[in-house]
Amino acid sequence: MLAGVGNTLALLTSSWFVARAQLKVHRGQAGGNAFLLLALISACVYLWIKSSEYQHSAALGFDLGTNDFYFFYYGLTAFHMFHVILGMLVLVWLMWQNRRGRYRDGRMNEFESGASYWHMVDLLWLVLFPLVYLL
Amino acid sequence: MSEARLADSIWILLILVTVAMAYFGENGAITFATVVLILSASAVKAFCVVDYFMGLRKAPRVWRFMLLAYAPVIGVIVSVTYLF
Repeated sequence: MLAGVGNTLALLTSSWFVARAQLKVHRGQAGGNAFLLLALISACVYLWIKSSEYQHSAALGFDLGTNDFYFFYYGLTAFHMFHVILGMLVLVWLMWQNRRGRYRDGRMNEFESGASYWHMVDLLWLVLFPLVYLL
Repeated sequence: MSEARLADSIWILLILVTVAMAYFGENGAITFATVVLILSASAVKAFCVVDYFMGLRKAPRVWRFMLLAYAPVIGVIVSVTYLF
C-alpha cells in the first residue's frame, strides 16, 4: 500500500510540474524546461518505486498466475507503466522543442496535447490506485 | 489568486486527499460505505486534475464533461459490482 501511495504522490507531483511548465511556456517566461525536468524526475521516482514493488512481489513468489488479483495487479499496473514511459518520451520531446523556441507566439497546440497526455496518464492512475491498493 | 498559486493549492489538496484515502483504506474495514467514500475521493481528485492541471475549466462542455465523467462512471460500476 505504501508503494501505491508513493506512486500516486510521484505522479500527482509530476502532473503539477507539467501544469506549472505549461503556464511558464504559455507566458513566454523562462523556466518551462526546468519544470519539465522536475516532472521527469518525479516520473523516474514512480518507475523506481514500481520496479522495487515488482521485484518485492516476485521475490515473495507472486506472479501473474498466483491468483486473479495478481493477474490484474501486474496486467493493469504494467500497462499503465508503459504509458508512463511513453509519456516521459513525450516530455523529453516537449523540452527539446521548447528549447528550440517552437512554442513562441502562442503556438501551444503541440505542448498542450503532450501535457494533456501526461495528465491523462495521471488520471488513469487516480482510478487504478484505489482499485488495486485500497479496496 | 494567480494561476500558478492555484495550481500549487490544488497540488497540496491532491496530496492531502491521497494521504487521507490511504489512511481510511488501511485502517478502516472495507464496507460499502468505505468503498463509496474512497471512490468519491478519487473522483474529486480526478475533477481537480481535469479542471486545473489539464485546464479544461474553459474548454467546450462536451470535452470537459466527458473527462469529468470518467472517474465517477468507473466509481459507480465498481460500487455496483461490490454490492453483487
